[in-house]
Amino acid sequence: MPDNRLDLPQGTLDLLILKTVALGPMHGWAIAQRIQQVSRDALQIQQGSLYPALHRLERRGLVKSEWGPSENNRRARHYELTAAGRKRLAAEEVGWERMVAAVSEVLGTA
Amino acid sequence: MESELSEELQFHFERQVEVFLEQGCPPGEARRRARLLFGGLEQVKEDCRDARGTVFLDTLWQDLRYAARVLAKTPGFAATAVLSMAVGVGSSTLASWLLGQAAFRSLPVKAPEQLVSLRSPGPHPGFHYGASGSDAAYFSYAMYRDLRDRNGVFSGVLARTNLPADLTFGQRTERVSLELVSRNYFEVLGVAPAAGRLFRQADDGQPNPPRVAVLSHEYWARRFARDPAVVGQSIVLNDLPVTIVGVSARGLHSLTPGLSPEVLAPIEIEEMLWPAYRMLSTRAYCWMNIVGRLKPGIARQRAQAEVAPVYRQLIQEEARTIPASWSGRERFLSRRLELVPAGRGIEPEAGWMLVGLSAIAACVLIAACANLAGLCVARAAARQKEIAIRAALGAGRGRLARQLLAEFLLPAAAGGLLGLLAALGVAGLVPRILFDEQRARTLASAPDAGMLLLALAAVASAVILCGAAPALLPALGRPLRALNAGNIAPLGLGQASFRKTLVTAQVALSAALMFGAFSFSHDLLRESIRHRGPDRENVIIFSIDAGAEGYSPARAARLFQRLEQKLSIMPGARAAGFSIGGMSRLEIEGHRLNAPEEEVALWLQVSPGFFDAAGCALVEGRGLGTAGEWPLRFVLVNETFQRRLFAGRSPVGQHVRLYGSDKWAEVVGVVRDREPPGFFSPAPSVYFPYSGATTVGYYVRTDRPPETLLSAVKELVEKEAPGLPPFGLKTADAQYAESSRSQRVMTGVLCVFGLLTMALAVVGVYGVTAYVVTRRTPEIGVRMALGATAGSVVATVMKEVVRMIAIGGAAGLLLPPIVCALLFKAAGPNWAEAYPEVAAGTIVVAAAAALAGLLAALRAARIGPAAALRAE
Repeated sequence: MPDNRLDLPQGTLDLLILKTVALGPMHGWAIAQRIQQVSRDALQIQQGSLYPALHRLERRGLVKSEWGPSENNRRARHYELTAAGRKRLAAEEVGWERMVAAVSEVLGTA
Repeated sequence: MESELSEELQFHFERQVEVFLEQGCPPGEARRRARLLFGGLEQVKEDCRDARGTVFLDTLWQDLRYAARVLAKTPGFAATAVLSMAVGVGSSTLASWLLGQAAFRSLPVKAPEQLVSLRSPGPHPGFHYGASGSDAAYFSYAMYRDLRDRNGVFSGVLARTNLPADLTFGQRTERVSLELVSRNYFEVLGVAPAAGRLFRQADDGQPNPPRVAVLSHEYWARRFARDPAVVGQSIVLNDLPVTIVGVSARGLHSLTPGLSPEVLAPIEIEEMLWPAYRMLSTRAYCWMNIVGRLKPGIARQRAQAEVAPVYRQLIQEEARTIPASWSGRERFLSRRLELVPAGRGIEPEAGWMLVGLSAIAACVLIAACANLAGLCVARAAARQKEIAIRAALGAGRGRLARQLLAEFLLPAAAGGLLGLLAALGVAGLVPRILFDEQRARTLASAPDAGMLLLALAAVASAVILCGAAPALLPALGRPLRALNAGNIAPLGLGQASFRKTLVTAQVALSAALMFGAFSFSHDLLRESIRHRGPDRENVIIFSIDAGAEGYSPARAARLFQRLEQKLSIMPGARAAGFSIGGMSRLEIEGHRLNAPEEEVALWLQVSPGFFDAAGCALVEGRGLGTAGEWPLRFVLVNETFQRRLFAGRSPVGQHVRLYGSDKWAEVVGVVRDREPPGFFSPAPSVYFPYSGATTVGYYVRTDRPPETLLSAVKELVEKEAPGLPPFGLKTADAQYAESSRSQRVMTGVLCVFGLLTMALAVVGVYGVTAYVVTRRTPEIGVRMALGATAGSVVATVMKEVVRMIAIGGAAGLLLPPIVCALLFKAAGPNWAEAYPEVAAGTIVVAAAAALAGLLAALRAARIGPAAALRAE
């Protein structure tokens, strides 16, 4: 399979997940689909790493989960941003933008 | 948790499959591609668990499940491990729990830490009456009143003592233990009644002293089924009617450990209960314990310093009433008052039986742990290759160590649980088997959380001390080398010597532990058995308390003499007589006695028939006359008296006197010792003619089995002395059996524990040896393939086994005495006496090891070279 997709930098998966669930409660499959869709398939997240990340975020209290019916009427676990998660997301976004700006500057002047 | 995780991942997986199906993949291909995309399901699960932080519990659970599977494959090993831990944990839990109950339980009273008991070591010129061995804690009533009223450090001072009394309620009279207490007793202790009320300092509307009694909670439950209506009813103590005013608090027995009196009464009614004794008003009678409650904020040392001058003054006042000639005068004047903590009772002592029992139980526990550790280490060593493979496949050393620890933990925990259940099952029974009735009652509380904690502590210490050994093994080994070496070659010098060391150490440890158990047993037995078994004798004993029924001394004397005469001529009787007496101070003319215990003798007033009936034949000198006179003119002494106080020289013609008498009495003869009932050694005794006590004990010697005459004696006493029931009517043999029961039981228990230690040692050594030899099966196969005969192979193996056992046995038999000699000098446990048992036990253990080695070697030799090689 030819792969022109981007590898995710370490730590960015958490940010992407938080950003995605900020839209509203959704289950793991939907989160993965959404990230892929929004990035126009440029970001393909490793399905295997999605769930440990979700569980890690839940343990840290940034997301909370609840079992509920999915869009095709099956039981699925829906993740939702907590207040702490929202705060964290805001902080991370600022940090990310700063970093991207800094990196582009370095690359631009190189 | 786990199923939710599966469901969540399954959901995701199925959605992915649906996507591929929609894209037109055939179902099988869709699943395959989804699986590829997802990665290893188990790996993802593992990562999720890691992310959740439940990994430790999960792997622990996994380890335990794995350990259970491994153990289930070797049921013999598992059963041995579980049972030996059950024995170790059960016995040590029970023994230490009982010890805690007896020695470390606070009294159920308000602020027990404020209570102190008063003691004053040194000689006292009078009578001592007390329950415990130490007479330093006994004071006269006069002393109590003075100390109570003349101090500024106690918020309250109470006195207590106990005496046997007759209690009549309804138509039934029974002998009970009566606790006489000062009227402020319950107020000082700060306890509430279970029913009615307790004594008060000022008892309104009552004659003085108030004729009231309080029932102990235990007796109230046992005799009156907790009927609250009993309050206000009248009972008769001796022949004094008293009113039950209330019931004492539940769980409060006595301030003296091991006593459980049925009834409590104010101390002031003593003179109405026993008009003849006059203990209350006699300064020379030291018969009560004094306990004070320190005022808040006053430390014990400070209180002791403040009371000291008061006590010195009291002693000097008291010394004025003592004759100047008394030899102990100086030491009496130098007596000091000590305050000792009494929150756990007056002079609580653990009791040598319980301490020894706990020590031996600890030996059993250690033996069980060592067993289990030895077996686990042997298994771990045998599984070196499996462990190496697992390490090579990526298992961390920590994880492997945890796995091996789990294999130790599981049988340890299961055994601990089994042991705890067994201990719970027998906790109520054991005190009744081991101790006398009163002490058993004080220990009879229901098993509590403390027992669970002790069992947990036993298992935890087992796991910490012994579980680490097998768990550390993989950390020491080098997996690669173990893999390369395989099992055929003796696994390198280090491995082989490790295995040998294991057997040697196990044998040595077993011997050392047997030394522990058996020498403690010897110490205990020496304490309890200083005595040869009694010759079976045809004697019936009983006692009569005429004083309790209001007989005057003269009337009692007439009755007792008539009864002696009738008993001695009844069919089947050869002799009858009676005696009464107590321990009292003594002086010998021309002797200055130094050791206080030498100044005490048993003074017995006896009837003329006593010596024949009790079997105290005259060995020197002449007998006594008949008429009792006061002051005494002639006395007899026993052999023990002669041995201890006259160093074996003839005492005939010497003069002795009782404190309080101003005339000397001449010793006119020596009689044979009468063995007292039980395991006690005979006391130095002085015999003088009966002179009017109102309570006496009878001896009737019979010419036929005494059991057949018991009812005839009872009838005769009831006819001659109506209203005076004979107490404790039984044969002397029965009395002996009863009073020595607890020692006999303890002897049995010690033997059982010693044998348990040995049995555990046998099991452990057998298991370890069998493993070690079984590991050589492939090597034996190679040897036999190369032409060795079965006989020569077995001989080779056995030579090595015997060497291991011999070194271990020698170390076990030689090291403890050397270590002990270095550590304890002379005062240690008695190793020498235990030597025969330990040597025999070690031989049994060695034989078991040799048998294990032989069986394993024979099995290996029999299976044939090819199969043996395949065992690889």
